Amino acid sequence: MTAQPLLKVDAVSKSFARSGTWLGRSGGVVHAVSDASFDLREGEVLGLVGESGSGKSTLGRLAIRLLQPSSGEVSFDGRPITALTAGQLRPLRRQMQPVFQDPYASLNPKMRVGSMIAEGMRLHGLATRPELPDRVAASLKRVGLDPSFGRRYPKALSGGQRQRVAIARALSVEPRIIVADEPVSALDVSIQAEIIDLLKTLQEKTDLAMLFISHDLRVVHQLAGRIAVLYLGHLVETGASDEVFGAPAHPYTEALLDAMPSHPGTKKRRRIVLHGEPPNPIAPPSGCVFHPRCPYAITDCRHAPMKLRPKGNGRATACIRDDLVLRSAG
Amino acid sequence: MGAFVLRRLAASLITLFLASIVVFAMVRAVPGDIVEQMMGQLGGSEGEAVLRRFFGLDEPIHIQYLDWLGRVLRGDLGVSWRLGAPVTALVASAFLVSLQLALLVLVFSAFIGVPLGLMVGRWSGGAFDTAIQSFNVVALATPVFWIGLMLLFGVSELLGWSPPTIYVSPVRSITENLTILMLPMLSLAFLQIAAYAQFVRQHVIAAMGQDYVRAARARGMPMRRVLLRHVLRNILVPLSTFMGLIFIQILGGVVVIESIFGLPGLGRLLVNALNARDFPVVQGALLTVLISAIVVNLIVDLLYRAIDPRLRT
Repeated sequence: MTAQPLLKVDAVSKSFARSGTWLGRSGGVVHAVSDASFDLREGEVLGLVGESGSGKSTLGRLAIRLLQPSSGEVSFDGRPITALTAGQLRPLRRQMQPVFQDPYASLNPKMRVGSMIAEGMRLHGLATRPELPDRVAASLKRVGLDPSFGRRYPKALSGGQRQRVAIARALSVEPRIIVADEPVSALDVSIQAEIIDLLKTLQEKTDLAMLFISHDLRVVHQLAGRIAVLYLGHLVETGASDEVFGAPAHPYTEALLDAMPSHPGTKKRRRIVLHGEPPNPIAPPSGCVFHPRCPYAITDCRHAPMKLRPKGNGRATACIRDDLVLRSAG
Repeated sequence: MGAFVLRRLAASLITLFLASIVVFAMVRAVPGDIVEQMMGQLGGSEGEAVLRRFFGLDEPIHIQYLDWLGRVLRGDLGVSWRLGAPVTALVASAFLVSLQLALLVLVFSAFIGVPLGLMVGRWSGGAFDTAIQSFNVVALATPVFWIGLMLLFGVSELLGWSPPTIYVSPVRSITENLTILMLPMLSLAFLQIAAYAQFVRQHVIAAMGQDYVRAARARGMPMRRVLLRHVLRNILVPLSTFMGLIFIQILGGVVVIESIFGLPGLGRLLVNALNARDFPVVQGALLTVLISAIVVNLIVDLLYRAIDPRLRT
């Protein structure tokens, strides 16, 4: 393994200007992601967790430049890609593939499954025309679908089958990174486990790097070696997932873990309930953005800078209180 | 497929039957008749009565209708009261002129409007989009006859070219024919180009926000190919319906523009016949317009099935 990370996201921020009203008042600026940094190594799965609206999807899209960051730099394989033009980016594109949440929206309804998968291979010269049918069949088999699916239209497929096709399509261009954005949350619970297993098998077999975005901590724990917790566009904690689950270092992580449904029969205990709602990302709170809802907040938290501080062992937290002993999961 | 066509045909026949009643009644609701027109100030009750009997106008309206319907079913649209010529021949030659013009407008404006719509949809919000949007608003709001008159005025005043006024059929000389049809076509095309561009633009903007477009972009596909392979493919079905609607609308515009450019089409035939209360010609012409509208709808439905494989079951 090379020392250099495959993907390096360095102090990336993204804000969206909201369109003004017809009276010409500016709608304000939404800070979707603020100053986020993380690395992704070859063959590693990084789980990105956070509640709805925390900026998970935006950060995922920024990481593979489906969105242009407002500031900060993304490097792929040691090469900065933020300033590249669309043309310069094109050969790199195939190495970074997204899998979207809703397989009903991500497949073109007017296209046969086979031609969707073949399209990327042709585009990047990964297969010659006579090879295509075999390559498409192999792609489908790899995701557990019969090659006859190639002739079908998405309409004839179930949600789980569609997501398999979406995965096959992403893998068809032989990527090195997959950004899976809530890839199972639109599926039936019974299907979710199958897709998770499939992703896990494919990832292990091909040594893919994967950014796995989810709000479901159990799913993330199954898949990801490391996790990063996002709150209101800020990374609040990163670390190996076993360690983060075993001993969270940030109060928000603790609250998230505590909210996980536990197995029946385990001892009931008092839940940590976060009061209020996530603040408005147009006008985020000063200091630590979590302080208005944090049960452990002290006066300093209102001014403390929101910055991940290394805590050794590859872990980092944005919480300024080192004296806390937080509850683990389970 | 065969059963579908039969079902649609049967439904169309019923529509046509009901429409024929409306047409017949409407024509007769117009005050005055051909006898009044012929006699004018000389009107004497005795002569008028003879003429009315001659044209069958003295019969009760339902008898007149059944009489007409019976002959239409046998393929006979009757004889023009004003010209004495068979209505079938009059309508047929006029219809071909209008049809040619309408098809020219339909195809010409599609060739300009669809690419324009793809472009402004792709760059929506930009300066080009804003410019085209303003053009569209103006084009959609300007009456066809005004554009026609301005074009006529423009070419004769500025270019010193006066377009030929005698119609030449495409069989005689295709170049002369197209020269004559150019200005009427352009007058009608303004509106339709704007309509196409507007329609395609909205669909492109909607498609651009779709994950499948995002995924295609993520695979490194150039925008132009994404538009042609993914976006256009999804627009084809709504576009074919839209073309059907547009075609019927164009037929309406053709009627107006023919009077300005003196084309011997259905519009001019209809206006002249209506002024003279020449009922058989009016009925025959309106029936032809109705039939073509129904046929266009049928074609669109069949096209749907050809384009969208999901409808084939």
